Amino acid sequence: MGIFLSKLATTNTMDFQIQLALVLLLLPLLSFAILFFLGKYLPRKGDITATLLIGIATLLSIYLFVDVYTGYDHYFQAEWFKLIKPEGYTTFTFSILLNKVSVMMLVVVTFIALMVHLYSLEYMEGKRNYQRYFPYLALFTFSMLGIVLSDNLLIMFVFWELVGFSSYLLIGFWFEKDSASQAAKKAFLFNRVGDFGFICGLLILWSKFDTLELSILKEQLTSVALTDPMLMLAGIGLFCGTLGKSAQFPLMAWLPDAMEGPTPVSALIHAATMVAAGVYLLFKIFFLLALPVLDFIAIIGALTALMGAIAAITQNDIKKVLAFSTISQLGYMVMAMGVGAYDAALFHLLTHAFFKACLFLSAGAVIHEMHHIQKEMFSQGHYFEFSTLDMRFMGGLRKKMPVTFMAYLIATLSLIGVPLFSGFLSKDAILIKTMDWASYQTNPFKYLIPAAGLITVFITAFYMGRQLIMVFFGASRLVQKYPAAGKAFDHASDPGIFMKLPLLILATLSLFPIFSFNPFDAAGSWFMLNVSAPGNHAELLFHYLVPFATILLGALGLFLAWKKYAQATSSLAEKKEGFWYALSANNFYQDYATKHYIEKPVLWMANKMHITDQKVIDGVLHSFVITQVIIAHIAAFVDKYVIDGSIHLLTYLSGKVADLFRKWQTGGIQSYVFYMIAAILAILILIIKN
Amino acid sequence: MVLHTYLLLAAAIFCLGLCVVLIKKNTVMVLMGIELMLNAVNLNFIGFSQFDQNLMQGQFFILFILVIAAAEAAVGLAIVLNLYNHFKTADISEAKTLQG
Repeated sequence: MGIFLSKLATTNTMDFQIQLALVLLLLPLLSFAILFFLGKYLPRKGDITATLLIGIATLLSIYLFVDVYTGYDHYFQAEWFKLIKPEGYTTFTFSILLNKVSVMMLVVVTFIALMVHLYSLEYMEGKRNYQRYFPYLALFTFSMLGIVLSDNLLIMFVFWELVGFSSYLLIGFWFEKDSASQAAKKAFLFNRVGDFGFICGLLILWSKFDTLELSILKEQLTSVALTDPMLMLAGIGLFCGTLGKSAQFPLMAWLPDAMEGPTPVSALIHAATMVAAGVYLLFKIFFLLALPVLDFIAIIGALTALMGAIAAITQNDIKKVLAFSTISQLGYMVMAMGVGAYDAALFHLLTHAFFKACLFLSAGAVIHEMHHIQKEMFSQGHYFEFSTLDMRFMGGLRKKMPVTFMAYLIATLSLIGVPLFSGFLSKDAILIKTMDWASYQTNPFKYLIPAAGLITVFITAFYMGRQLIMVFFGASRLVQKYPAAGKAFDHASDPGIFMKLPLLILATLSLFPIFSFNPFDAAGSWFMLNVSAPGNHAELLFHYLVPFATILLGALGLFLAWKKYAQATSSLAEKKEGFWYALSANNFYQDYATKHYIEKPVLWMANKMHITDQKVIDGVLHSFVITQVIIAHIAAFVDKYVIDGSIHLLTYLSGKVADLFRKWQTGGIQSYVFYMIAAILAILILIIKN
Repeated sequence: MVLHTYLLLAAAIFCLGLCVVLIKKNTVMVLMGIELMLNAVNLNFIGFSQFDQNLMQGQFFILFILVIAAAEAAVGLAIVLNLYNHFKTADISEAKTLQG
């Protein structure tokens, strides 16, 4: 079978918007190439260049966003290459789809990337490997845009892997730290497990339909029953990709560890964009998911939402709280996908991207400031080592960092789902739709899913309240523990303009008017109006009941957090007893389980395999080889003494015979004459005798 | 004279010539041995020619042989000269390049 590479042949014309989208896709790649190869020759190692390029990309994506929302969707498909089959060709294509969801994702990715670039100009300044930081960010942005734009699952998978790779690079950015390189490896391996499922799903789809083009699949699926077992298996397989990338239940343990990366990276990759790629994938393949698969997805999502929230309660690391909160919110999105409310899921993805990025960047500002305090203490001669991420050493930063506090407060309220903030709209949309879905099911146990969602609202309020209080309220616990730090603490202040600006912009984007003019009506938001999922109309009752319940649960959570932690600001250590505490603090012992029930058996098996290989397979091979050598020796003996010997004997004999005759051949003419005479005489004598 | 005497003399001279050819080292001497052998044959012709009184065929044959002997001597001396040029000696026992 020969392989042809044919030139790009357009199957339909490339219009202006598609060309813009291609430029938009290639801008971060250009930024990566410039910075990677020429970064050290550019002023400030090229960070300004990177920020400008990503700024242009942001403007382009906003233009496309406006264009698509006021106009039409754009689609472009082209041939990539062909494989010759015994009958005809297999054509590999790639395609770009600009619809309302993908342009929304474009804006989210480029905008958050721009914010993170701006923020990093100040945050990362003077850090180790600064030159490598911006190219990696650009590579990540490129890969993420590829996922968003591609309408072909194969191309999407390629970019999906690239995203995983750039995430690996960025988590392990401070690879000199052992924990960072370990975390990078862990994230990569967990994603690998999920991607294995993804690729199995791709193989099944390919073998069944001979294409991975989503638009063609969509047409072909009208004639195939969704409950076909292979198709359901493919759906589960593709969902495994989501499990890995979006850190859902069995594969969620990598995300908290991924916080070893620089904080702006956590904001971009592990809060707003990459982890949302899993949800976006679910939206893309939604049409091929059968109801049992969707139920499974909903259960996993609800479970993850609850588990992430519970694990967030007891974390002391400021970033780990946010990481678990991200897992929990991603669980919401996956749950919404599972109940068929992909509009609500994507809406939550949108609002979550802004407020979670804001939270991470604000947390970064706090960490930055704690670092300053520690540095100042060192310069004053007070050597007190403490982790700058540990919330038990924070507190009282509200007055010192008012801007950061405001941004953090707004984003937190948005995350909890307090009215007037964006999170309220999207979370309510999810909860109403989930409740609605459950009410149409015959199985009453399905009410457990919205129930898990509602409980998560309460826990979210509790842990975010706890974090807010521990970081910003009360008095500084660092000063209480180590009074000499007071002077350094007094100098703490808000960060510079480059860090403050993204915080303010993102905080503004977490307010309700950005999304809906009615702060209580999620269904009336522009996004939900434009991207609406078909399905049952929500009963009016839920429209009042669910917001009421969330407000109540949120308020209760905040109140309990205030009661528990506002008084106890001075205590550094919390009570550490209790089964539930241990369960939460250790993230349900998932790492323990992975280590003991997966890693150890695998290593044990590998060890046994190694021994088997060495003893049995190598043994058989060795004995075979030894037999061969023995046979070869015997053959060599026979060859040398029998065959060669007979030849030698022959040559020896013929040599001897030749020697006998050689003596007569004297070369002297007189001897020849003598022989002649002798011969004549002999002949004469014979003649005479007869 | 009886034929007997001729034949015995001729045989003696032939044997002498043969001995010279076989034994002498000097190539010129070997040539001379050959001349001797030829002349011994001539003696035989002379001896037998007494039985052919009218035609004298034997004696005429001798004339041919003498001419051939002269030609042979010319060729032989040329060979000797070349032999000498090649081996820088007239010793025939030195010309042994065909020895096995």
